[in-house]
Parts: sequence; structure tokens; C-alpha cells
Amino acid sequence: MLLSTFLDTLAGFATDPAMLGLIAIGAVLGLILGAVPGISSTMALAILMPVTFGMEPGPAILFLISIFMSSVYGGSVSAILMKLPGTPASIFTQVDGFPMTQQGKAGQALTYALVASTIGGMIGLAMLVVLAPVLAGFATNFRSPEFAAVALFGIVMLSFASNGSTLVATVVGLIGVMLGMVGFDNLTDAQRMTMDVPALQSGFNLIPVIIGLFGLGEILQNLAEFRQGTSARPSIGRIFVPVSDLVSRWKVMLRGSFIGTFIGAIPAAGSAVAVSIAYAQERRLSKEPEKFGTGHPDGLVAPEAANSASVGGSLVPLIALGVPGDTITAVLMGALMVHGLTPGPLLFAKDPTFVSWIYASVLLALVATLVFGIGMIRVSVLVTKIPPQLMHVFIAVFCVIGAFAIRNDMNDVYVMVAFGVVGFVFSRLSLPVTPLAFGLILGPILEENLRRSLMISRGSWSIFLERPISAALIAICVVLVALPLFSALAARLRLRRQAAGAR
Amino acid sequence: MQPPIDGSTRKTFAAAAFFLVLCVLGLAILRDSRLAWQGMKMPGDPGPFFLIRLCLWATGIAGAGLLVLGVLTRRPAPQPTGEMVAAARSWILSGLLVLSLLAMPWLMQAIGTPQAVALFAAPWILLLGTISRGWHPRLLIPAAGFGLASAVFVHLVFIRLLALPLPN
Amino acid sequence: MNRRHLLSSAFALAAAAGLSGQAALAQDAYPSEPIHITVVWPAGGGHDLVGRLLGNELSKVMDTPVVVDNVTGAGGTTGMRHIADADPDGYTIGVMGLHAISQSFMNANAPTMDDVDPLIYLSDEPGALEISADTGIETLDDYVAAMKDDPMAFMNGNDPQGGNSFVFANVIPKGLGIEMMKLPYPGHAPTVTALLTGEVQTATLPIPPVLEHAKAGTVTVLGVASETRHPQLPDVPTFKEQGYDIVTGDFVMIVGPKGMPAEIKAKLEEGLLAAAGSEAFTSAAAKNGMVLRTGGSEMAAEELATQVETVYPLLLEAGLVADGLKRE
Repeated sequence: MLLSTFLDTLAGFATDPAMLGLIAIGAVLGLILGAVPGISSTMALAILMPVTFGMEPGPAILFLISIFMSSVYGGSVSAILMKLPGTPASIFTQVDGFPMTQQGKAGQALTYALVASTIGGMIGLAMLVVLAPVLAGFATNFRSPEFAAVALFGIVMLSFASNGSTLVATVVGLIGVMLGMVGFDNLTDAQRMTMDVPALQSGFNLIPVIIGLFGLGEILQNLAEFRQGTSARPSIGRIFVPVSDLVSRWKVMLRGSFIGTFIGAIPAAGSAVAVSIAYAQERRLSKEPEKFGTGHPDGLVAPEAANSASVGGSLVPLIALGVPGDTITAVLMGALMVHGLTPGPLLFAKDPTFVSWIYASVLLALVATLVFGIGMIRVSVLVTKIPPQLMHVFIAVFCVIGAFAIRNDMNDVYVMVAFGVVGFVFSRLSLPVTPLAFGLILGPILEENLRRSLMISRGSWSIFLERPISAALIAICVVLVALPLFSALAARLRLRRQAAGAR
Repeated sequence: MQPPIDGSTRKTFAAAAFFLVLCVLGLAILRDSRLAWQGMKMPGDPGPFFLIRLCLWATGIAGAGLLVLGVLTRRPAPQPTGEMVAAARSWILSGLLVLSLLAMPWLMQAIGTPQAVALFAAPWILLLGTISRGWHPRLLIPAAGFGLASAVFVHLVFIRLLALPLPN
Repeated sequence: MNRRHLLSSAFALAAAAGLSGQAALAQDAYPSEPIHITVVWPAGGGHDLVGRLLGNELSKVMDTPVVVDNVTGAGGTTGMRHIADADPDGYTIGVMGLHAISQSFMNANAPTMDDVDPLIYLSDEPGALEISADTGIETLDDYVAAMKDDPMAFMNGNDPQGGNSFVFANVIPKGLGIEMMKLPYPGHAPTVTALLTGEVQTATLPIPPVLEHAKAGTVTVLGVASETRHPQLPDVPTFKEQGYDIVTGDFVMIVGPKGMPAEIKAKLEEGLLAAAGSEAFTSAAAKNGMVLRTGGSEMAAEELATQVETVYPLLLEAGLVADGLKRE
């Protein structure tokens, strides 16, 4: 029943030139705004929301979803080309995307990202359409203990997310967790490590931190090696990737999409968590994990697929419960409310056409993003043609304005510069930087839900083992930690036995 | 066995020291926050400082562990002072950028964002151009041009179009 | 759907793109530049919606572009400081509620209520008590009886200390004569989620975030803490009707920095009142469950003073008033 309404709506949209025009405008605006560092998908939606005040609800939803979907990919463009993630969801895109740009494969990196993003979005949508009731059940089973367990799972995964020593990666991740807790406590409003300094009271927002760590950190590093004759820059190289190569990565895309959809469906987890876990997971499973971080396409494809798939997932709590799954859907919901449509159990029970409206909008927005995204690749790779000395200065300016723009707070500029220094020093000490961002995302989720669970259980830690989903997640964590230790031990025993046999 | 970080004794010691300093400093600041807080905890709540303290201790223990590992795996690395000086010199440019960026918020508030951007961009383009291709008065033209262009860009895109409340 | 809509949307887009294009032309008459409405919470929340809806109307009334800036962080303090520190030229105003009063006593860096100048009073946001339909409890008396029987029977979801639903969660059980187990959530949306997934059974949220769920029957509103019934939920009795003298609520007002010239302030007040009274704003606001009670700067200042007197003792009792901010 839903499927036929869906197809009808889709056909209605696709044959109406006015609608197609709106989608096109939305996709182009979303791509551009998403690509500007510091303008997140949330802000792109908020900025363009008043434009829809004069429209009817249907076109307004179409327009906004089109902006939403295309800005998700747009954020990856600046991440790949300048190492400046435009949205929190693209923080792992630059880890392997930017090295590809340095190797003169910017066009290919953008193509990988676009294709993975489109396919991830389609899979996320397909799962939303087919599995919405299952996903909704899954999402509603998530309470504080489960959130804490997911965050713990993510923190265990982070030790797989970077090269070098696992111990060091974990400690750096814990430092990230700690940094995420600076500022006001979400549960008691206690000030933590703020020393009454306004910049610390605001806490470390993810965007200024990652712009500093990755964007400015990279510039500082380049400047340290800046010498005469360093004006050589990579060529643009081929833009398109052979189809066979893309097809051969279907497993990576599929895994990324599944992780994205499921984590996106958990209310309040959000796409940043989804991409972190997708990246770490892919690196863990890869046959060549040491190549991650140096421009491995799988390291780019997995988070991009997860990123777009999480959009489908994040619509699950909105449709099933009438609560926004993350900040982006919150803005979308705000926009719907302006049009007198409050997503809630009532709206969806009464009005199945509305749901298919949303589904059709997502699908068409994905297609529009693909079409305009391909067109944009040719233009955007020209950025790499800019001489490095100019590029460094422009990126520094973008860093300042991007850090400010995310919350309109000048203190975030200082935070960004401080983390630029941290990124620089870390790379000098050969300490991994990625786990820091990882910890910063997961730390607040872990802390808040851990403590709330303990409040519910009146201090008894067994609450985490009594609930099946959290118990299962914790069991997986234990296995993940124990397995490498165990296999190392087994290998050593085997060696010893062989040595004994040889004697 | 190799030193755990990059196979370099020096980097291992540096990381160990970094972790230890972070632990001590963090615990001191945390103590300060804890004393300042007068609110009450909910029953069962391990408190707003529990997880931070746990992380700080873990960092400290890891630092101590790295120190031990570093000592155990120490190898007599040659310590050429010339290398240190060269390293320090190569940091000058980065340090300069950090300082000029730290001045930016103040500059933006004092003379307006586009002006501050121009004032930041032009000298830097000049400086980097000089370093990479040698000084020539002709460099002044692109420096001024791109400085101005970035100011205009910031004004048009961020202030006019996106209407960000940047200091004006 | 027809071509006209595409045209009008394209037109609106062009207007947005040309925002403030005419800004520098007339320097003499106020307003000659875009007016910035500061919202101290992230985009998508209740205050954000108010800012954007009101801004849209204000821009028509005042014939100047109006933009919304989300200046967020530090529990709303960063944004309040942004308003208080702005030039008092009438181009920076902000949406404010109860949170700013709480913060002004809890955080030494927050501006005090003397640092801002109320422009108009917009709406009341009465507190309420909601219970999940899964509990099977439908009346306030049943709830009170159950809680008196076992204070741990139901857990309540509310804001962290200082937020409006935390204040309600202190005032309401006191009036009902019960003990309430309070579980903090960072904001209204997570509280609603917790209420729907069953982690908590009751909540003390204001009406707007639960309006749709109350209409759908998944959430039962046991009582509203205002003098009159809520216009969007006319079947729900107030606490007073049920014999408990509980009246508590948040509010929404528009404030500016202290020291605006009288002429500009008067013009702004007039424009804001006209925008708040426009049909487009009132209908959208009503749909979202707001209880409009607009009034000028004098009424706003009075209401603010009353609220300060209500909130301060509560915070003091909870040990939340920072050292240097205690009253003599």
C-alpha cells in the first residue's frame, strides 16, 4: 500500500517541472553551502528555512530535503580538497580523502565520495522504506544503558581507527573523551575544568576542534617544511574512477550503509558517531589497514556511505516517534512545524501520503545531488590548482571564519587555534590525531548515559548486563579487546613451541 | 623490543612526559572545579567529575608505562644539536602563523572582519611568496590583490549573503 | 502545484541572496541595516522557531532584512552575553526565557537581568505534568495516590538543574505534596524521547514539545500549571481546577542590550508588537502550542521582575546560586 502511494508521489514529483526546478535549486545551494567550511548541514537548512515560508508544505519539504541531502555530500568536498570538514559528518572523509588530493587524485576522491554517498543514501532509504517498523522497534529499545554501551563500543573501536600503537591510540582517545566533558555538565550543570574562563565554559565544540586539528594543523605542518621551491603542486589527474573499481568495493559500501542506517536510527547518536564507527570497522576488517590514512579509497568510501545512509536512519525516530534523531532532523522538524505539520504518531497514522512525500523527496534529492555533484567535481578540483602559498593563507582565513560561524562565538576561534597547535605537536610526536576527535564525539554520550543509567539503577552497575542489547554490545566489546590479546598470546605460544621443537 | 612510538626513544619520552604533565595539570584543575561546585548529586550518580578523573588517571598511568617502556628499550641515539636548531628554526613560520591568528579576533573586533582579513592575508602572501621565489617588488601586486580579494569575498559571502554576525 | 510557485520561490531566493543589498544606503533613519535576532539555543528548538517566525514578520513590518543568529553554548550564557555586549543601536535583539534568569545566578560570567532591556513580552509557557499512556493512569488523583503509595513508582524526566522543566519538577510535586524522582535530560527533545521509549514515565515539560503526542493519545497531560486551560488542549484541566494551587511557567520575551536610545527602543517595540500581532505569526504560534500574551516593554519588565523572585529561592534551595551572586 505504502509502496504504491510512494510510486505515485514519485511520479507526480518527477513529471512536474516546477518541482524538478525546486530540487535543482535546493541541490545546488546545498552543495555550495555544505562545501563552505563552518556552514554545517544544520546551518544550511536554518539559513534557507525562511525562503520556504511562502511555499506550500509539499514543495517546502522537497526543497528542504534536497538542501539537506546535498549539503551532506557538500561537506565532503572541502574535507577532501582542503582538509577542512564542513560538517561533523565529514570528519572521517578527510582522513583518506585529503591524502588522495595530495597525490593528485582529488577528482577521483570526489567521485568515490559522491558515488558512495549516493549509494549509501539509496540503501539507507530502501532500508527505511522496507524496514521502518523493525528499525523503529530497534530505536525505541534504546534507553540510557544502550546509549552508554554504544558509546563504549565506539571507544573500543577507536583503538582500531589509526596506525601505530593501540595503547597510545586508546590513551589519546581518552584524552578526547575528557576534552568532551569540559564545560557545563549536562546533568547537574556543574562546571568542569572551566576555571571560569568563558571559552572553556562553552565547552569544546566538535567543529572548531576538528578544523583546528586537521585544517590548521596541516597548514602549520606545511609551513614548517615551507622552503624555497615548494610551490610544486599536484596535478588534477583523472577525475573518473573505472566502474569496475567502484563495483569491486560493493562490500565496503554495503557495510558502511548498514552501520550508517542503524546508528542513524538511534535517537541522538547522529551521523558523526556513524561515520566514526564505519571508518574504524572498515580499517579493522581491511586486508591492508596500514594503508588507511594515506589515501586508501576504502577509508573514504566507508564513512561516506555511512554518512548518507544515516540520513535514512535518522528519519526513523522522526517518523516512528515524532522525535528528531539528530540536530539536522531537528531543524527539518522545526521547518515542518512552521508549515503546521508536526511529525508525530498522529500525522503518520492519518496521512500516509505525507510519509511517501518525504521518501520521494529523499530519493529525488539523491539523484539531483549525483547529477549536480558530478558537474561540480570538474569545477571544484580547480581549487587544487591554486598555488600553495595562496592556499595556505586562504585556508587559515577559512579556519577562523568557519570556527566562528558554527556557534557565532569568537571564543571558538581561540579553541580552533589551540587545537591547531595540538594537531601540529601531535604529528611531531607521531601521536595519532583521529582518536582525539573520536573521543570528543563519544565521550559526552558515554558520560551522560552512563551516569543516567546509574541514577536509574540507584548505583548498581548490573543494569548494563540486565538489558539484552546493552549486554550484547558489552560482550562484543570484550571480545574485540580480548581477541587481539588472545591471538597474540597464541602466536607467542606457538613460536615458543616451534622453538622448543627445533631444539 | 622497540620503543613503542615510531621506534624512537626520544618521541616515546616526549609522549610519556606529555601524558604525565596532562594528568597532573588536569587533576589540579579538576580539584579546583570540584571545590567550586556546591550542587547536589542524584542518588546513584557517580558525579560530574567521575569519568574525567578516570580518564586523567588512565592517561597518567599510560604516561608512566610509556616512560618505563622507553627506559627499557632505550637505545643510545645520537643527539646532534644541529638537528634541534634546524627543527626549532623550521617552527618559526608556524609559530608566527599561530600568533597572527591569535591576534585575529581582536583585530576583527577593532577594525572589522573584512579589513582584518585583508591585513592578515596580504603580508602572509607576501612573506610566503618571498620565501618560495625570492624577494621581488613585483610580489607586492599579487599580495595586495589577493588580500583585497579575500576581504571582498569574506564581505560578500559571509557578511552579506550568509549574514553571519561577524564583527563589522 | 504550478509554475507560479516556482517563480515565487525563485523570487524569495533572489531576495535572500540580495539580503542587505540596500543596507548602506540610508544611514540616518532606523532601521537602515539588517536586524539580528539572537537565539541562544541551536537551530530547530522552540526559541529558534519563535525567532524565525517573528523575524519573518518583523522584516515586513520594519521593511528591513531580519536574520536569526544562533549564538549557542554554555547553557545559553554565550548568547545572552552576545546580546548584553552588543552595541545598543537596535540592530541586535534576542529571544529570552527563564534560562537566562537561572544562569544569571548560577554563572558569574552570565549577564545579570540588569544588563538587558526587555522590549516586548511574547508568551507564557505554562508548566505541565505529563504521564505516558502506557502506565494506564489517566487522572491526577490516581497519579498522586500511586506516588504517595510508592515514591519510586514513576520517574520524572526533566532538564538539568536550572532549566525550565527542572523548575517545574520542583514546584509541581511540592504543590501535590509528593516526592518525585527526577532524571535529568539535556533538553526537551531528549526528555520527550525518554517519555516515549518508557525510560521515564512522567515529565514536567511545557506543552509545545508534547502537544502532538498528547493529541495522539500516547501521552496524557494530567494538569496544566496556569490560571486558565491551555488553548490547544481545552479538555485538560488546570491544577487549580483539581484542587492544587500550582501556577508556574516559563515565558518568552524579546530583549535588547541596556542603553538603547529611547526613540529606537520605541520604534522597535512598536514593530515587534505589530509583528507579534500579525495573523501569520499568531496562527503559526498557536499551531505550535504557544500561549500568546503579548505586551509592551513595561509589562515585560514587570513579568521579568516577578520571575526573578520565583526562581531565585528555588535555585538557592538547590544550592545552585554561585558564591559571588548570593543576595544579602
